[in-house]
Amino acid sequence: MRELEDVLYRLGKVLMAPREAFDTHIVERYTSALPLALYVGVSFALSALTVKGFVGLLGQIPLYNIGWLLELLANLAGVIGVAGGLVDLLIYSSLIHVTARLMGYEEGRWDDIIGLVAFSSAPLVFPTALAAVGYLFSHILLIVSVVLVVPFSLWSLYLIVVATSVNYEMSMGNAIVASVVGPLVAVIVAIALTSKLGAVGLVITVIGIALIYLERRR
Amino acid sequence: MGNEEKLGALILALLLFSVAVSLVPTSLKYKYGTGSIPLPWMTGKGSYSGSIPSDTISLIVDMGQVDVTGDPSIQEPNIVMEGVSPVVEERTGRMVAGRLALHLPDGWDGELRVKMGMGAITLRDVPVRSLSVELGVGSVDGSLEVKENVSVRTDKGSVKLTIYVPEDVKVHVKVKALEGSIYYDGEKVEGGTIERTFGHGERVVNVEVDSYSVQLDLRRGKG
Repeated sequence: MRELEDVLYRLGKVLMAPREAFDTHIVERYTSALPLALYVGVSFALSALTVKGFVGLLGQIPLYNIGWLLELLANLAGVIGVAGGLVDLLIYSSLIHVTARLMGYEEGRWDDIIGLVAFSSAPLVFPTALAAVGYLFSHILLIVSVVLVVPFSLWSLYLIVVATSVNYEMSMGNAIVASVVGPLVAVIVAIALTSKLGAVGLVITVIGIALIYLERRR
Repeated sequence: MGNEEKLGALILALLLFSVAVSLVPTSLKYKYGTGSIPLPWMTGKGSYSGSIPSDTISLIVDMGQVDVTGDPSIQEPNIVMEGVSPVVEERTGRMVAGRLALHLPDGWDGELRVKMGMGAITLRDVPVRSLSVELGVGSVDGSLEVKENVSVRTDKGSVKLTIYVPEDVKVHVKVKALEGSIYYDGEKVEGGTIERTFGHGERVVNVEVDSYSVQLDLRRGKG
């Protein structure tokens, strides 16, 4: 019972006092099990409900030849969403970590920032639940929930900035650079090189980031 | 229980609810048609042209345009498809999206079935024994010469047809629509649900149409 209370407390604390919640997560050396469970649940439900809902909208038109394919994709959307979400979590957390190190911050662990970024998905529970209600009862509610994902994602991004600030003991301004600007620049460079050179461009980006990171760590 | 625990309980409850609902398979909520698998990477073609010598022809198209034309210059039915994954399986022409044209020879005495998800179906002086159309969203219009049955159903759409029937038949018409009208020998019948028999004769031609808007012009002399 105490474990459940502890879980509920940590979940609530992330939204009510994120800095304190993240600090406790690091200091108490909690595992990333709870944040990852939250992240996987949100990724699964949000992607599955969004895709299934829009396939449902299309379902009003009888698609005799490709209806089965849409249905298959819809029923696999949750799994695909989780796989994509976990890859996104690993890449994004790694980019934050690398940027923080390049900025000279030696505190903060990589596995902690993974847990904290996963924890920051908590606000997305609300539009996800609305999408679930919309999936069951109303397509309009479903569309509203998809629109609401944008402001709730901004809330989530704010939590990531706070998490970065706590994990690497940096100011909020530097945390914005480490968690937003740095990863954004890396993604833009990766897209630009990939569009010019294909997969080679992506490899060059990854190797480039690794070399810069190792050079600065020397 | 403090405010943090209450909020945590709400988050956990919403998460469990969302995951549970997202596990509901779509097949329980929505009905899809079933069909074979004419996908681009399986057919590798964007067009198909050839004869389809059969007295029962089915056309199954998800989205696009279907034109059926009576053509006195040909001897057997001919089909032309341009679009995504055109396939002919025995007597069935299938396509995911695009334009399908079917030419029928003069006096063709066969059965034509058309199933379409969304789009327009146009008939130009089409000679058939029976016609059956199932359309999700779109329109069906044009003219045809029929000997036995016409059945047209759209989920959301309109139907405007001129139907020629043989001289010696009576025509039994059932119309279900928001706005329906039937013209026959200078007579006009209007209404949402109409069931009438026109003309006299031993044989019967059955016409059944279910759509949002229906306009039928029944004429004797061909078919």
